Amino acid sequence: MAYTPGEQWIRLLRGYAPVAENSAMTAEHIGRLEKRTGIPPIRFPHPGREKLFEAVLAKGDLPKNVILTGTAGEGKTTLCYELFEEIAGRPPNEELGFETIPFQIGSETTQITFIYDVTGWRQIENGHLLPEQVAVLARFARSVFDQNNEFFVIAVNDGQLHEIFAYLPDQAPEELAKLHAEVSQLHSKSLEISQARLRLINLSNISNSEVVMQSCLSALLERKEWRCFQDEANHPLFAPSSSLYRNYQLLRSPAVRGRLVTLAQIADAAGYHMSIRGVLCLLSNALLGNPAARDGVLRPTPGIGKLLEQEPHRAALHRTFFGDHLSPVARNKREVYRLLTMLQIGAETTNDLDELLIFGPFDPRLQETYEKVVAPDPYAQRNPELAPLAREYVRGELTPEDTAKLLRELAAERRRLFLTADEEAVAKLNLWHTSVFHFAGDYIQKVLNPVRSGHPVAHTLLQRIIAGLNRAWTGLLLSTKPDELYLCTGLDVTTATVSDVLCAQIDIAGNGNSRIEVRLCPKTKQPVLLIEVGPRNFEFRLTLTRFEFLCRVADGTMPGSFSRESAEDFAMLKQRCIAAIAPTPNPQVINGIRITPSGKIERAPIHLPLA
Amino acid sequence: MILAEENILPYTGSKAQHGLWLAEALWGHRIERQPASALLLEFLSMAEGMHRQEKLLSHPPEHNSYIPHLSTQLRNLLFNNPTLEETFQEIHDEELRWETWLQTMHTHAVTNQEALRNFSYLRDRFESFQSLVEVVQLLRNISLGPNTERRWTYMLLFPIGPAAFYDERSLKAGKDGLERTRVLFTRTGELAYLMLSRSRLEIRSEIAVYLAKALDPAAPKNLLLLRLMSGKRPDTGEEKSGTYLPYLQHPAFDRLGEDVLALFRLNLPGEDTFAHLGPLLAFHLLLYQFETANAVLGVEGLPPLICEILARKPSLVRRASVGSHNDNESLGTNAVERLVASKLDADQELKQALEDTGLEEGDRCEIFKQKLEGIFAFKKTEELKGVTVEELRNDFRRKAKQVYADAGGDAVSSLAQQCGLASKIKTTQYRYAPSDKFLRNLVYVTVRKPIKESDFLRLVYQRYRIVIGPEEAKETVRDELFSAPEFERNTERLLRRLMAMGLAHRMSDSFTYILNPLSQNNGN
Repeated sequence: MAYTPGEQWIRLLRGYAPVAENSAMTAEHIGRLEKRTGIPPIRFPHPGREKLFEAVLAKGDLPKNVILTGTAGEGKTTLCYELFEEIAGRPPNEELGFETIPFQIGSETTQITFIYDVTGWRQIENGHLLPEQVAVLARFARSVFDQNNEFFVIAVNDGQLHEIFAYLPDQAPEELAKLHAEVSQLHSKSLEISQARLRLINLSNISNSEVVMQSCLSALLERKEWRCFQDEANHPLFAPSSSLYRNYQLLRSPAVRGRLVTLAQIADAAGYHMSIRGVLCLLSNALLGNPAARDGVLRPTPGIGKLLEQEPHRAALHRTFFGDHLSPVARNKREVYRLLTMLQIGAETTNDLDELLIFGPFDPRLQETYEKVVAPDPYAQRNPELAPLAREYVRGELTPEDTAKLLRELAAERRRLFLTADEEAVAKLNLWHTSVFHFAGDYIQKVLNPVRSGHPVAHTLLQRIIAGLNRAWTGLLLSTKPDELYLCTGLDVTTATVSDVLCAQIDIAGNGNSRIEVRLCPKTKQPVLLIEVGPRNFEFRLTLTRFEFLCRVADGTMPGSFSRESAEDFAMLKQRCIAAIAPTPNPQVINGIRITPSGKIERAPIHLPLA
Repeated sequence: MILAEENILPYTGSKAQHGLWLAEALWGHRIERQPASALLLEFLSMAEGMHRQEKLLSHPPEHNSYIPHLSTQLRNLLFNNPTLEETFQEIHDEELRWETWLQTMHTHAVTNQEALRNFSYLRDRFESFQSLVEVVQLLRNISLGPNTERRWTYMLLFPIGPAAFYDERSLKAGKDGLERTRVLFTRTGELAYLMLSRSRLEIRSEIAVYLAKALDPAAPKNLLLLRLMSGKRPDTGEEKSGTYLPYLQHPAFDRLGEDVLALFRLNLPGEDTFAHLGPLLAFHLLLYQFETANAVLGVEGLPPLICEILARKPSLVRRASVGSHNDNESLGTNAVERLVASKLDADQELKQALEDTGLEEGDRCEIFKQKLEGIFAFKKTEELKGVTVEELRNDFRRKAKQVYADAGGDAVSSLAQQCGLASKIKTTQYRYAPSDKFLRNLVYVTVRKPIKESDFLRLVYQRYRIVIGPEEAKETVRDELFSAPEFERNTERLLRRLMAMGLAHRMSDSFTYILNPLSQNNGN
């Protein structure tokens, strides 16, 4: 079958989507598709490229052996291919999985061995690696410690990094045990540079989700192959009525692109990592997803025109992006969809928002906002059944089945708004309240953005964080606008639910001896809260989950009732904070506390007899 | 090694007071049901008593006597003082408040020393009656088991200082004084202390340094307690002694010592260590009981503790953990049975008498009963049912098992619950389903630097025989209850729990490191 250029592009793009044949998608799979379609894969400068190239092609320094690790789909193999091509001047043989080539260092010719993916390379017989593979690893170990005349670049997943050593036979060379110890030491402590001739580069630590999302969006949306929308406009797949066309146009819009980048920031802040493979899967599925298609993903087949005519709103971007059309099994297999499920976008709501969605078209108070924010739907994404359902609901004429349907459609509409609304509308309609993180918007705008640009967070925000901390750490209802952080413990344990002994109070504004600030951790590029008293300090990652907890507790939610896990997390943080700060006790006084009417803590000192 | 004659300390006390000297001979005098808080305080009370003798964890094995604190005035003030708040609220004149309340206390306080009835020293120590009320309320907040139905004489305080490590007392019949009792302090805490005192020298020496800090009478929180008492030190009771731990060496002693030391080395702030120490002691007493029982049964080491990390639905893992719990509970009974048989079989005199055809069965029965009294200090031989030696032997065996089940067996069950290892949640039967607190303790004492999940599972298996993952289950779980995927899910549940508790960090392809944030202090 002859494919048009547009169709070939879609065939390649489908290779990234969550379909059965690529459930274990690798660089090799895309490589094969490239050969079949003649379309180059989606590429962009990998954030880890510079680090890898610098370690191996070290200018003015000796090359290092490199272990390249990170989440599956992070681009380890692709990076190895790129380095190989740089050194060899030819593409790698992808079928081999293992290649050794000459490597010129100045006037000296050495050799370099690539293992593109340890999983594919290793062969286990009777519970042990093949002897020739043990020999390769032994050469690697000698290169690391004895600095012989060859080098290695090895791509491996975190788990397999340790597993490979477990497959060594009992009589394996001693230096392999030494190598295992060295690798474990670096890996467990997230260290990169070894004292020996080795770098352990963890791509997941280099490429955060935000960078990955931005890179993938640009690399995908700016491909010249999209001219198929002009060149093949008569093709049903590329016609303006096609879900692919509509979703592509919407995905290109600044509001949607911006929201996706924000979601990636949220992922980082919540401790999730989006891999390159995960994001490309998400985006290709958002474009090609269609419940009427086989596997739920479009492909150029005869009869595609008829398929695209079936209820086009069901292939709307706000549905395909979240993987609505995929089976729960297909979604759960992928970390990126597990993240979206966890965020629960659209699942929660506010009265104001539902009022707007239901009564907006006819209530004069709401009409203006409705026309501005909700009504615009240039790519026919909204389910046309929503409006009649809402009308019948207002009249009280809905059956229980239709009520359930209305609720589902309202959730979908909230997702559509969440994805497509501009920042102003997101703030005005409190759209983050439709997700599990009500304060995610504040987190991005008031915490992450300022600290990344080197600015302090606003005093009012710091007060809010400290209000949450004071309530979580004392168990008492204290001021919502505090001036101080109270480090209190129980008379018995530091983690007492109600802590009524004051150990220290620290000015939020800081003084010569102490300070509290939110700053950027240079290593993780994520915000941390620093509490410093004299020469001692304590800091903890201010993750989105922790920020959410603090904001909600500051607003009056009981710590234990909001999240038992978060409450326990903060109890343990307090224990560590007090251990680190080690407030010097006055041997003559125990500071009991009283709460003033303004919600401040006042000392009620208990004087002690002399020993 | 455990049961070698030279490893057993002779019991020098009188066995006559014991109805049956059997479980005591095996595990010591004695393991009995005890709340974890009482276990901890009895342990600390003995440690404190030894510290005053300057023998903390460094005394000959046969030395077990100490004089405990009573802290009578403190206890009356905190727990036998119902009119304090009432006086403060209803009487507004400061002078009258003091007078009225002091008079009431003088009348109602229960003490064995008349001088301790006088609380007037408090007037000079508190600037106002209100400040006394506040201090009493502050201290009442740290009473242990505040919602229990315990009488006030049994109320305990969180161990904030040595004055809070006081011996329990009951009211005399006429409620005009206090007398010794062994309701809460069943000696099990003392047994834990003796175990620790027989751990390796370098371990107990270091623990003694840490403990001595907690036993410092000049520590601020202890001064707070002393402020409520008239003397410079708490009043004390009679000398306590008689707790017996049979073995000079035992793997459980060093294991306990290592874990207690690991806990102290975390340098937790304030008295936080004690919140973990009580359950840890309970866990190690449990392991001691199991390992000793196994030794009697000819099995070296600990039995497996197959754990279900709480799952929503029943599974093979749950069945295996119920089975493991039941098997281990019956170890003690089996050991008692084996001990009875081996002691009787080993007695040559008895053997000869039983084989003597010239003796009537009635005479043999008499000789058998005398032997029971001699070997097991069993005096109620007339209660044994049977007219033949065989019948008497069977009845004695039944009685011995019953006596064990009522005390030692009950204690084993209680220890497993107190340490957070056993639970009935989502089932009608107890099984090993460790609580979050148990898991936290486990990580705190075993993990010093981040370790791989598989290494952690192996470590807790090798050290405590705790079985969670498929590799360890394969070695211990009966075939019909073993399912690798179910134990993999069990592991996954463990890792998720640990991650939620900040005790694990997940890398790619579900590879997880277990970490101890207190050991690292890495500010996660």
